[in-house]
Amino acid sequence: MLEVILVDDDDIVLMMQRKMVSRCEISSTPIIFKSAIDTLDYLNSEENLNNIEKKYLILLDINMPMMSGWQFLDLIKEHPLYDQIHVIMVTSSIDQKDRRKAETYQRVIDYIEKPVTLKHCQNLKQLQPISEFF
Amino acid sequence: MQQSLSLHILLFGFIDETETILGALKQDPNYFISQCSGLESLKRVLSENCGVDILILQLDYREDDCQNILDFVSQQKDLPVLIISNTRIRKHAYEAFALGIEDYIHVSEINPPSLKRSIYFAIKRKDYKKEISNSEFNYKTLFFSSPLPMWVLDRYTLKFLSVNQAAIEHYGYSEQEFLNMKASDLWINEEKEKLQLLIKEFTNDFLQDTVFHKKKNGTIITVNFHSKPIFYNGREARLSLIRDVTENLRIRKALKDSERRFKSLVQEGSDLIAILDEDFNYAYISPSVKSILSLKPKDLKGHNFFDRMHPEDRNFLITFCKSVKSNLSGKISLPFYRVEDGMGYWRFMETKLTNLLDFEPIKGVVINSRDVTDLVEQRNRLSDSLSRYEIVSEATSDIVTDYSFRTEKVKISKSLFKVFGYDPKEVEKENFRDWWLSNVHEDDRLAIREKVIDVIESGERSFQLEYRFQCADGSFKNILDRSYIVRDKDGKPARIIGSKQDITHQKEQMKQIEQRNVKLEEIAWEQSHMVRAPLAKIMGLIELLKISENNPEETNDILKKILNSAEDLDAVVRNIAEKTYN
Repeated sequence: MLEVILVDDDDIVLMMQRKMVSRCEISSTPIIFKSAIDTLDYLNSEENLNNIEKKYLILLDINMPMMSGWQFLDLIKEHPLYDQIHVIMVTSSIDQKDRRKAETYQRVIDYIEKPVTLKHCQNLKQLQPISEFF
Repeated sequence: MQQSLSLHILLFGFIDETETILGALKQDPNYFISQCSGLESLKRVLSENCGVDILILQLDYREDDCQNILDFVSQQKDLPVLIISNTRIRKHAYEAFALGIEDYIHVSEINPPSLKRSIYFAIKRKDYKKEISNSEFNYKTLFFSSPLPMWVLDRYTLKFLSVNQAAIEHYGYSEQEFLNMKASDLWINEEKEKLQLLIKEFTNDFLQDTVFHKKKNGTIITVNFHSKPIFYNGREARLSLIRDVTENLRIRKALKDSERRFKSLVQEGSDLIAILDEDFNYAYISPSVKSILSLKPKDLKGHNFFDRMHPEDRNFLITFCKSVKSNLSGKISLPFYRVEDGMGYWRFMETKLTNLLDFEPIKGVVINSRDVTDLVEQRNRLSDSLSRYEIVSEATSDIVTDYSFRTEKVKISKSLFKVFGYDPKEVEKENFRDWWLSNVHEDDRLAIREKVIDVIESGERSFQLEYRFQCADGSFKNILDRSYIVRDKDGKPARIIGSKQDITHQKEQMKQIEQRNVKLEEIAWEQSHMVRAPLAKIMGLIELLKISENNPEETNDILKKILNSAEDLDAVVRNIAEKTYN
């Protein structure tokens, strides 16, 4: 199964993304975190660590207080669930440097400039590493 | 019969007929007669010089000293001698005439009138003989004492028959040597053929030519000869007069050479030489005017010296030139002036004037001019560039240093004081290298020192350094030091010319620019993040609005959120504006 996790510090953004992923039938019940730290905590839960079947699709914001998206990506490199995680970077930045940086992370499969639209979501489902789930 | 003259007659000797003779002589009352006998007595009487007009010798050929008497008498050149002999031997008469005796009479022929006639003729004959002898002497003197070499040649063999003293002295051969030679022995090989033809063709004509002769010492001389056919001692001969013209020719050639040399100096020289008349009109102008002023001499001849002169120079020069006439040395040098050449350009000239108005061959003022346009222009350029340099070094704040490795001395521009507050004159007295390094900031010093040594040793010619330098007041300034190393032909450094620029101000500006850049980067980041964030939210909310079911509560909620996001955006924009302008 594929669990969809939305990570953003902005409530409105989270609300919008939740509505989008459910409308597009990516996930009707995505898991929502307001910070990267919370997300890590969730991944570190006993239940998740033991579940080697479950895959994760994380829509990850870059600019967040406490821990940025980049820091999060660096931290999961050593994580036991590393291979089970797919990341889509979602950012309001239109800086090309960010896009190039994202490409250097193995687990990042796409890069979306906000806002996330229906079209984005449709394309998402076609992405090779996760298309099997739709 | 002729008038009787008063004569002093010396009657010598004694013969049988003496009484008869005396009687005949005494017929003439004008005859004064002395008598003597014996050679000694005769000698004495003649030596007493008592005005003997004629000597009458009564000779008895049987006497022993007859021959001695004849010998003595023949030596009396000026004395007419009459012999009265009592012998009829004809030989005696011949011998007497050969000795120069005026007359020879046999006693049998004596009678008063015939004796008187004989006395008269003897005296006359002696007079003629004397005249002839004198004229021959004169002729010989002319020949032998002529200061010019003369000789007489056989007309056909060209053998020397007689040569004069001048010829002997001039040619170096003795008289005897000459007489054994032919004129052709004096000829040089190259001319032999020509002269032989000449002699052959004009054997009996007057000849005149210039030929080469070889002297005894081998010297070749050029001679001009005049040769006239004459008879000499009954032979067909030729009298030649020789003039040695070697020296003349040499002098003439030297004169010609020198004339030619001076002419070519005037014509081909790079100087312009001209002669002006009293009113400074050109009387002569050297052809070099063509190369110097692109004018032909005839373009200037007759024109005034001042005609082509620049109007600004003319009046002054007219006054100046006129002073040459009153100047004591007769020479003046004109200051540089401008002359219009044949192409219409102004040329600068330097001219010397020499007053030769009183010198007959010239009768004018000689000018000697030189084109100094290049010199003047170069001088002007140099002075321009010097003053430009002065202005530049005044205007610039760059410190220019010129350090000599050989003398270890340095020249520093005045700006050293302006920039660092040091007196360049004081610094020039110090050891420049030590002084300079000691003022380089200690954090830069080692690196600078190594870099300079590196460059000097590597053979490079220029380097550029940046470092901090301590001012007289203790503060530091940033310096951009651009230096050029002048090397000798072996590549060894001879001088370092340095330009040290105070870049403190630039450095500060750079810092400000960098700070501003940081700010601009911040703005750019904020634009892409801070602005994008609320904007993206608004766009996303509108997207949601489009797809939301017609649920008034939800629509309301979304609109409220759009408003919130718009307010966020407004705040961000205001923040950016504030940052930009501060």
